[in-house]
Amino acid sequence: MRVTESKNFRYGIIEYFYAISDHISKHFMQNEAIWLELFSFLNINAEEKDPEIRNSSLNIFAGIINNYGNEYTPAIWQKVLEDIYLKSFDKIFEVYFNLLREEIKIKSLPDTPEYILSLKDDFDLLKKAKE
Amino acid sequence: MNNQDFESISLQWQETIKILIQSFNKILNKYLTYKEKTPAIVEKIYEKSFYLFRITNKSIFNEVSIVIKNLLNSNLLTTRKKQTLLEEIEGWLKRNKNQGQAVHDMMNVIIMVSDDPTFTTDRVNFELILRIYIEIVYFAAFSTEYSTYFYNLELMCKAFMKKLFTINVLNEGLAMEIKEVFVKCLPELLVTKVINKKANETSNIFLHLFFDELENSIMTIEVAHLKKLFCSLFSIMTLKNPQYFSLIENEGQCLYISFIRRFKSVSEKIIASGEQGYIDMILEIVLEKFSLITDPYSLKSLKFKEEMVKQEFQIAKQIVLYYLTNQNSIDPSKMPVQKLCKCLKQLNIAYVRLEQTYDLKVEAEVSPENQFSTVIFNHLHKILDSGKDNALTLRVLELLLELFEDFSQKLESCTASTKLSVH
Repeated sequence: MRVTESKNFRYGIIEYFYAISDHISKHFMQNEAIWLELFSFLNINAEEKDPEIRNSSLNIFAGIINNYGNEYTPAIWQKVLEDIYLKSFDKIFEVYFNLLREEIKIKSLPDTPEYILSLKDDFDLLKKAKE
Repeated sequence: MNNQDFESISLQWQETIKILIQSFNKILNKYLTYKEKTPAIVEKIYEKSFYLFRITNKSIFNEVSIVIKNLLNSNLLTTRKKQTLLEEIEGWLKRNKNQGQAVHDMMNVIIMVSDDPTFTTDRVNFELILRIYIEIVYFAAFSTEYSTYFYNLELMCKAFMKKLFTINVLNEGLAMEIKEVFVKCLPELLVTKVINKKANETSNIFLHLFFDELENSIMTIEVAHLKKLFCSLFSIMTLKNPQYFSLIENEGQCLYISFIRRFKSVSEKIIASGEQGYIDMILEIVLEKFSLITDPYSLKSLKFKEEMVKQEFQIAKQIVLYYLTNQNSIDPSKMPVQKLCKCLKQLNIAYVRLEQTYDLKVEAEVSPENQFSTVIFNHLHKILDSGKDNALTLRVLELLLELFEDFSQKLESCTASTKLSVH
């Protein structure tokens, strides 16, 4: 019961971010720090264990950008995207790939994840070489 | 953690991955409309999209294909980067022919790309699209899930054919690319008929779409390109595969019949136009490519041979009659006269052989006075009677002598009107 209540409370908070973003857009539209704070919070939730919380965080993250993105300065875009969203993007994929690795170990399976992993490794190597 | 828990967690993360890609797409769409784009962000978006495409599998392909579609449809990327993405798509299609739904999604991407002028006006890009297109047509031929994607394949073919002709590639000397499509696709599609009946429908649809577009723009295509194109089509539609023809259940499935019927309507259009160069080209094709003339014996063993003979014969007859009724357009010093005479001779030989040896009534429905030999003979008589062109008259006389043996029977019935001519 408590778990459910706690979940509902957290959903409520995440949903509330739409209203907050609306308020920020009216009063602090060009304030980089406030926007970054808001997105950082959403981002933390995007890596949560609870699937519903992380999924709705991702949806709300994109929803807010969709609502106000045209009014952001290039600097806000740069930071929100590079420092926050894409980092989370990599982390979520990392978790997913680790799970696939486990799956291969547990089930001694299959071609597709192996293939994906090999591609990912290739890509990581390329990325490192580039850096 | 037991297996069940693990599977459930894995599925939950898979769902998150889908939502993550959807959110990425939403952000991408917003950035496309953003006015102060920076190269660094564009590079990041490209890098991540490329990454998504490389790791994509069946479960997330739908989401990824939407990202790729949006990216290719935008002006965010340079042509070079779009090209790299398309090359990746080509490689992906080669590796994943069995992933029906994903290939279906890819078709949508290609339909969209074929509307992008960046890709259809540049030769290198055009070839790239063409190669991807071929991969998809192959897929349609081999896929067991084919019927599900049939509608989309047809749409894609239409979009592609339209593009092919609107950019007037034939005039730009890209006729070879079209030839390549046919050379690569159609024979394989024909062979797969044995495995997959639907494949033949693909070939037929492909063929009809091609001719629909061709007929609309035929007189804008250079004669030399058109001839090359028709010659390669005839070479592909070879009749020397009796096994294939014997497997066909009805006439409508026979690709060669579909092809020769469409060729007939094209040749009718060309004859009606009165454009001498184009008409000469049709005559050359009749002489060089028609089985009726080059190898009438090959028809004997084929199924639906009567329909094939009938179609080829009618085209040949129309073209011969054109020349006979428009003698003024014939320049005796040029090749058409020689070719016309050869055509008449060959046609007559084939006619006699087919009627007598194979018992094929090639003109069963035509009244005796309108039959081929009678009509031809009467025309030749008129030419001789007019006597206005000595060279032509002489050639016609020679021809009549050459034909004399084969025509002897018919000749007897026409003696009254042709006495003077023969002697």
